[in-house]
Amino acid sequence: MSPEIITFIIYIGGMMGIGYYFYKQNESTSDYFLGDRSLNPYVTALSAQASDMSGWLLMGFPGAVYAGGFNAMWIGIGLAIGTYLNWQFVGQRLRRYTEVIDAITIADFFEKRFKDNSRVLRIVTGLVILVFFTIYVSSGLVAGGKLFESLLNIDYTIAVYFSVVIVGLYTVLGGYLAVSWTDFVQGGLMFIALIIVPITVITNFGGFAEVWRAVSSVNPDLLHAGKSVTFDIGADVQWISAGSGLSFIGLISLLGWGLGYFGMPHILVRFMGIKSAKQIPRSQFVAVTWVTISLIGAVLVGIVGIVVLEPLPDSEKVFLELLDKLFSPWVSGVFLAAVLAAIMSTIDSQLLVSSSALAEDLYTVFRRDAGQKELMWVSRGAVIVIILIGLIFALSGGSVLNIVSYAWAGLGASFGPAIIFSLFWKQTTKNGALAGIVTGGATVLIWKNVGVLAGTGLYEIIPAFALSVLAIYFVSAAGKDPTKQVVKEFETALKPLKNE
Amino acid sequence: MKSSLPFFTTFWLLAPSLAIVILSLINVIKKETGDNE
Repeated sequence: MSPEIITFIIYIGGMMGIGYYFYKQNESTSDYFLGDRSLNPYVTALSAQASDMSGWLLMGFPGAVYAGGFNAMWIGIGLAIGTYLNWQFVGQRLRRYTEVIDAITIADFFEKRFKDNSRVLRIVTGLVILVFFTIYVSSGLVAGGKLFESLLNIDYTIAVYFSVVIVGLYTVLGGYLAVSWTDFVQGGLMFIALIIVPITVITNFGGFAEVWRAVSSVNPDLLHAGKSVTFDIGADVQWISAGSGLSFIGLISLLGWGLGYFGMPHILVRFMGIKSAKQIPRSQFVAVTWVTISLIGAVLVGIVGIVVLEPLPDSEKVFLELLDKLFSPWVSGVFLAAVLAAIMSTIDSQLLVSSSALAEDLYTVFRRDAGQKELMWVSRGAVIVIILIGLIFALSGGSVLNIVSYAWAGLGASFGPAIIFSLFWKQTTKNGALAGIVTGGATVLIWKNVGVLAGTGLYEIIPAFALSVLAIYFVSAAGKDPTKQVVKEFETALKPLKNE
Repeated sequence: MKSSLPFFTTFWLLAPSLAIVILSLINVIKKETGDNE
C-alpha cells in the first residue's frame, strides 16, 4: 500500500472518529443543525470558511489561474470582498434576529420573520435549496472523482462512487457539531497546504523572480491581471493572448462571484450557530485572514503549475500534479488529504442544510406533529437521497468551476437580496421576499439555458441579483406596512440582546 | 522576459486583501476596547 493511501486512511478514520463522537452527543434537531448555538469564534470562523471553500479552492480556482494566468485572480478578489461584507453586515444581525424569532434554518427565518402562516415561503425556500444544492453537491463529487482517479489510478466512475460512500457515511453519522469540528480541522489543513505547497515550489524554482521570468517566457500576458489568455492543450502554443484584453463584462462577471455570499445557506447557518453575536468581529478577522491567504496561495499554485508541469489535459488537476511531481509520497499524502478536506468540508455542510430543508421545511408541512426522532431519521434519509441524485449528475463529469458557478449563482441570487432586505429594511413584506427568491432563481435558470443571454458572457448572478432586488423592492413597496410585532422583533435584533 | 510582476497585478492582488484584513482587525480592536469601557 502506498504512503499516500495510508495517510488517506488515517485521515478519513480521524474524521469519522470525530463524526461518531459528536453523533453520540446529538440529542435534538437544534443540536444536529446548529450545535445548540454553542460554538466559539475560532471554530465558527474556520468552519464557515471550510464550508465555503470546496474542491473549487484546490482544483477549480488554481485550474482557472493555470489556464488564464493572473486574469483569473479577479474571482478571488470578488470572493474575498464578499466574505468581508457578509461578516460585516449580515453575520451579527442574522445571529441576533434568528435568536429573537427562534429560527434554526434559513427557511425558518423567512417564515418567522414575515409571520407567514401559509407556509409558502418555507416550501419555496426549501425547494430552491434542494435544486441548487443538489447541483452543488455534484460538483463536490466530480472533484472527489478527479482526486481518487489520480490517487488510486482507477476509473473516474468508480472514483465518484468511492467519494459518495466516504462523504455520505460521515455526514450521516455526524450532524452540525461534528461537521463544524471536522470543518475546523479541515480548514486548518487546507490553509497549511495552500501556504506550504506554493512556497516550497517557488523556493525550489529559485524564487519569485525566476518564476515570473519563466511564466513570461511562456506568455508575458499571463502575468498581467488586465490581459486575457486562453489555454488550448491541443495547440502548438498552448497559452495564447486574446487580443482585446479583459473586458468590462469579463471583469464584473469575475468580481460578481462575491455577491453570492449573502445567499449561501450553508455559510449563513454558521453565523446562526455562534455562541454570541459579540464574538462575530473576532471570527470575521480570522475568516478574512484565512480566505485572503488561501486565495493568494491558490493563485500561486496555478501560476507555478504553468512552468513546473508539462501542459495538463485537465487544468483542474494542477495541484494534484504538483504534489505528485515535487513532494515525497508521505508529504504528498497529507496535502492530498487537504483536497479531500476541502471537498468534504463543503459537501457535508451542504448535505446538512439540504437535509434540514427537506426534514424541517418540507416534511413538517405534511406532518406538523412529527417528533424529534422522526425528523432526525428523515434528515438522514434525505442526505442519502440528495447524494444519490448528485451522483447521477457527477457521473457525466465536467468542470468543477462551471458546476460550482451555476449553483453559486442560483443560491446567491435567490436568497442574497431576500436576506439583505429582511435584515435591513423593515418594510420588506412576505410577498416581496417571495418575489425576490423566485425571480432570482428563475433568472439564473433562464439565463443559463437561453443561448442569446448566456452568449453575452455576463455571469448570470449579476442580472439575477439585480432583478431580485427590484422585485423585492417594488412588491414590498406596494404591500401593507409591517405589523407591530414584526417591527418590535426587527428593532430588538438591531441591538445587542440581553444575554450577550 | 520580465522578472517582476506588473504593478497593476501586484497592486490588485495585495491592496484589496490588505484592506479587508486591516478593516477586520480594526473591528476587533474597537470591540475589545469597547468592552473594557
